[in-house]
Amino acid sequence: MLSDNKTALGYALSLTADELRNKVSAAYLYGSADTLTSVLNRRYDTVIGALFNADTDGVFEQLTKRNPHGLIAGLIAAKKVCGASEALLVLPREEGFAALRDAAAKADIAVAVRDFLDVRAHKNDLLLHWATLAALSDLIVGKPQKTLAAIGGELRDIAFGETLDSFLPTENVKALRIGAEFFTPEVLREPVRPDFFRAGGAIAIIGGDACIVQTASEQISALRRKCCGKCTLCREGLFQFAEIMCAISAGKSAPSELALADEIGGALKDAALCSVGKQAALSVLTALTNFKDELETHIRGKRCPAGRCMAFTTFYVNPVKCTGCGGCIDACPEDCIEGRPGYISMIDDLSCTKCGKCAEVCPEGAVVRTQNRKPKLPERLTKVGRFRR
Amino acid sequence: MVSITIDGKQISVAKGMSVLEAALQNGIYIPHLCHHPDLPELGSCRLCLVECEGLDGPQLSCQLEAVEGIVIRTRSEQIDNLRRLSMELTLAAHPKDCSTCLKYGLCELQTLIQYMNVSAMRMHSRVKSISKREYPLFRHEMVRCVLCGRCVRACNDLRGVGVLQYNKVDLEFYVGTVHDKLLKDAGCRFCGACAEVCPTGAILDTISFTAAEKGDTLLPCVANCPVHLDIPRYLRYVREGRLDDAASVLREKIPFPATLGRICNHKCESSCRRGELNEAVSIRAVKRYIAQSDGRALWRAKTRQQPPTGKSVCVVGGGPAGMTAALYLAKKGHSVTLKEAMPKLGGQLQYGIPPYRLPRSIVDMETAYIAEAGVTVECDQPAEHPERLLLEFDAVLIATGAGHGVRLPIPGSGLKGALTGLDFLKNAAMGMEAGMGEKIVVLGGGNVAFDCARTAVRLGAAEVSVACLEGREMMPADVEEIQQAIEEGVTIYPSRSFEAICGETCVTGVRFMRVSAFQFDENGQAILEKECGSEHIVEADTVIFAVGQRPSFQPEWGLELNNGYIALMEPESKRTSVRGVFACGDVVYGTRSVIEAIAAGREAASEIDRFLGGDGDISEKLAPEERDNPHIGVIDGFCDMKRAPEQLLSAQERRRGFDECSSGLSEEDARREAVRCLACHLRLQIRPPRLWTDFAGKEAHPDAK
Repeated sequence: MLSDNKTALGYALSLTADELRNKVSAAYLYGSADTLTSVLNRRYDTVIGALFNADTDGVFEQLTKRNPHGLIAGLIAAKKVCGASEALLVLPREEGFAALRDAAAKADIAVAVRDFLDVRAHKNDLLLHWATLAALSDLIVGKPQKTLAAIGGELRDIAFGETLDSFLPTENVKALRIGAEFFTPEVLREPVRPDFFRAGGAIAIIGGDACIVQTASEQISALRRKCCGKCTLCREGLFQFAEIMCAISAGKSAPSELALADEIGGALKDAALCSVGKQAALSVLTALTNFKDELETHIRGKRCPAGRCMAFTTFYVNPVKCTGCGGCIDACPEDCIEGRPGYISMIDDLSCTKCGKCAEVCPEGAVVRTQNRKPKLPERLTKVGRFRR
Repeated sequence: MVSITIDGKQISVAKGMSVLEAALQNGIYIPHLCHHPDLPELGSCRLCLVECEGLDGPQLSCQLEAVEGIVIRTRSEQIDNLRRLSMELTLAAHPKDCSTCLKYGLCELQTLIQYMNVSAMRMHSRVKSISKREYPLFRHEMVRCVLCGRCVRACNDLRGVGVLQYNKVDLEFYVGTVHDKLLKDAGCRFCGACAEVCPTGAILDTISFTAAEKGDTLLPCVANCPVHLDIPRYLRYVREGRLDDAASVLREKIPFPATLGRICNHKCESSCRRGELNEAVSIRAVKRYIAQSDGRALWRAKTRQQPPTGKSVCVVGGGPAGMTAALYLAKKGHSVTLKEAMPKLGGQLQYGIPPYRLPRSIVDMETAYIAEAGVTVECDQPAEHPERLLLEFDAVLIATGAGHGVRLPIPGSGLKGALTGLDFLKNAAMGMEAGMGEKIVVLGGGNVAFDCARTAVRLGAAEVSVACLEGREMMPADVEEIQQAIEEGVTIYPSRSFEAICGETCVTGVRFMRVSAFQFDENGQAILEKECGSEHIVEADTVIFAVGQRPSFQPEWGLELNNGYIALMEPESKRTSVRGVFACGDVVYGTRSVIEAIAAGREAASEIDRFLGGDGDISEKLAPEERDNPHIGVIDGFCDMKRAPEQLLSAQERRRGFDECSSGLSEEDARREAVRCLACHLRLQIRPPRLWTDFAGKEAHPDAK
């Protein structure tokens, strides 16, 4: 998968369509449990090798440096096998693909640059992920098929049946994001299946201190940036997802919003034309299913278990610890801490933006951050040591 | 044809059709928003979902081909829920202030809201921050856009112009141009397809109209032409270099295209929508170009001569109205005699309009066709009593025009040297002594006044001026007439009242006062506000009245009159009070234009044909009838293309004699003018949307939840 497969290119060019079909038709399409055979039942004008539109992190671009000839070999083989008249390699940008462009030029393969592949314009074309092309090149030379994942910015090939815990840490793991989907740590022990990466192959470990609402929110934002705006369900569905996650994080959500997110996600998952809508739907649906408790804690319990959602957090000055040094007053960018030398500082909740700078500078550790109710505090400026509960 | 079943109803539809179109064309409504019958499918709104036996899950009916035996259901709980969800999502991004929207009541989205009884209550709503943009002809209020993509497909796929596209700023989408350029800078052809297909108030015409007014509003050139010439069609043939076809389009409605190409008052140009963009298309000059390039073979071969009916008609008066009526009556198979009092046919074309505007060779050439078409032309025939003519003919048409110049009843109007414009022009046209001195003052502000003034210049007058009641900007004469007269040395005295003509026996001058305001009352009398003490005299030895004309007929004819003109018994028919006697043209309504006279002549011919037992149908199909290609493509610099000026002689050359001032447009300029046409007619080819209210027995969804 990840070493330059020049041998495969030689075979792809010299073997007949039938010979290639015997070698590669059992190849799994990347992220799917379907094989190449399942798409060979019709004619195509062009076979196109591209990334998912929803590819937001770009790690798969490493394939073009590490196995450029393999990608071209896979494309040529696919073109021959399905009897298409053209093959096209789609790059997400102009610059940075010298090795792949070279290989394509040598094999006389057309190259186009598209930051977004309009699926509607390619109804008569076969779209294959670069990882599928690389897998085809392995099969051409008789290697077993593997799949690809991006971990920590590096591509890694994984054999089917392998488990993620064999190479990922298992300590302090709250969740895993695989592509756009969210999983509980149990997934680490599941054997990798062909459709394991249906929402993309980037794996991120979400630690115990991260909030699932915020992580999902970031994922939705990344996909919204990719959205082309043509399909109503994707364009407006993603907007609703973003608003719902935002409302949950801000403590302004009702339980009915989870049902709404579920309804939109269910419709979008089936209706989406390309990976952007599909992955956004899977992202929200898996967060809803696998992290229901954490979401409901936000909504009903008005608490963020990770303490990340600032809407649920308040800062106060512990009147017993405060020495009245005034450090917090100087540090506050909003000028919302009242106090005088020798008096207990008081934070004005209404103006506080919860930036936490006061807590950072307090030499006594007297500024407390909490999601619980505040204890009784002074109601007017009180000299240090004079406060009585 | 294939046979399919929708909601238990078996229908037979053309092969290759989508299930959605098949349903809509067979009276079964399926809600839809992004679908439009003239545009490629997008499949983005997801309202047209159906269930199809044998396929898993709901299908988009716009994307589903109607193949033999397919069984479709247009409703189910799942489909209703998914449709509702799509509408809710759409509405969440759409303003709620329907009542302030200019599309209120005509909005497709609004009808869908009513049909589905849905609102965005459950959703997070937003109002996009996209400001309105005003363009010539169109208004973009993209905050109301639901991104159905119809306009983008109309602009790209239907028209091939490619100006409109999806834009994205800060995660918000809107339809706009590349880099948000102004439409004209982006290469817009202003064809209006976008406004036509927009289902909401996002892209709107700046002019509002009802469904009944739509055709006339969007194609004002044709609507404002008295004979409704198919202007877009002949401009198209000029663009395509098919001049014989273009000439045939003209001949379908008008017998004198070369004449009209020079002197028509071109209401078409005044209302041309291109004028909103920069300048109106020079339609009249293109017409002249077509007429002079006309091979005459095509329309002559196709023109319709019906067999003799045995009926006879006498047309009295050989001006444009009479000639037109005589021509079409002859084509209908009647035996037509055209009697003209003057030595030659043409009326005002021959004896009124000066030859530097309308060369007599053109008039002779075009009037000659009347006799060629089978009309018996008798010139030098004084008008006879119509009832005497009825003894000889089955019908009589009075089209004697308004040939008597009016003299204002002011002191000195009968002095030697005071002339009427019509006599002056007639004498000049016939090469007779016009009775003119050295210093000429023409009274009146219309085209006849300028004809007199410019004729006087050519006859060698030393000083020529035109005085009129109207202010400089309000003068009824054509702008180019006034401009050319000034270039030729004519002085204009606007806003003057005519107090008196000075002189004992001969004219020595005209006494004027300045007018600060004036209007006509309901009887056509001028009501003036004069400036005190503004009296002044302009010296002159000749005064020419060009202040209106009276109809030419004899009172003893016994026809009922209306305000001095021949009265028609019903406004639409051309019947007079005497059975079998008809009247049309200036003699009925006073001085108007040549094109209105032609329109009146056509109507009279139709009426008289009906009176004589015919069907009254004088329409002709002379040019090929082809659907125009909607794919207009891109033209570099389209919006900046300036109106091509006619090629004019210099003022010195013009003053020297009666040579025609303008030589019209060059071939290149004529083609260019035709290219400048916005092709507004193409928009009318676009089919209207199908709304649920159009479907018999269709009721809005009962609220599902």
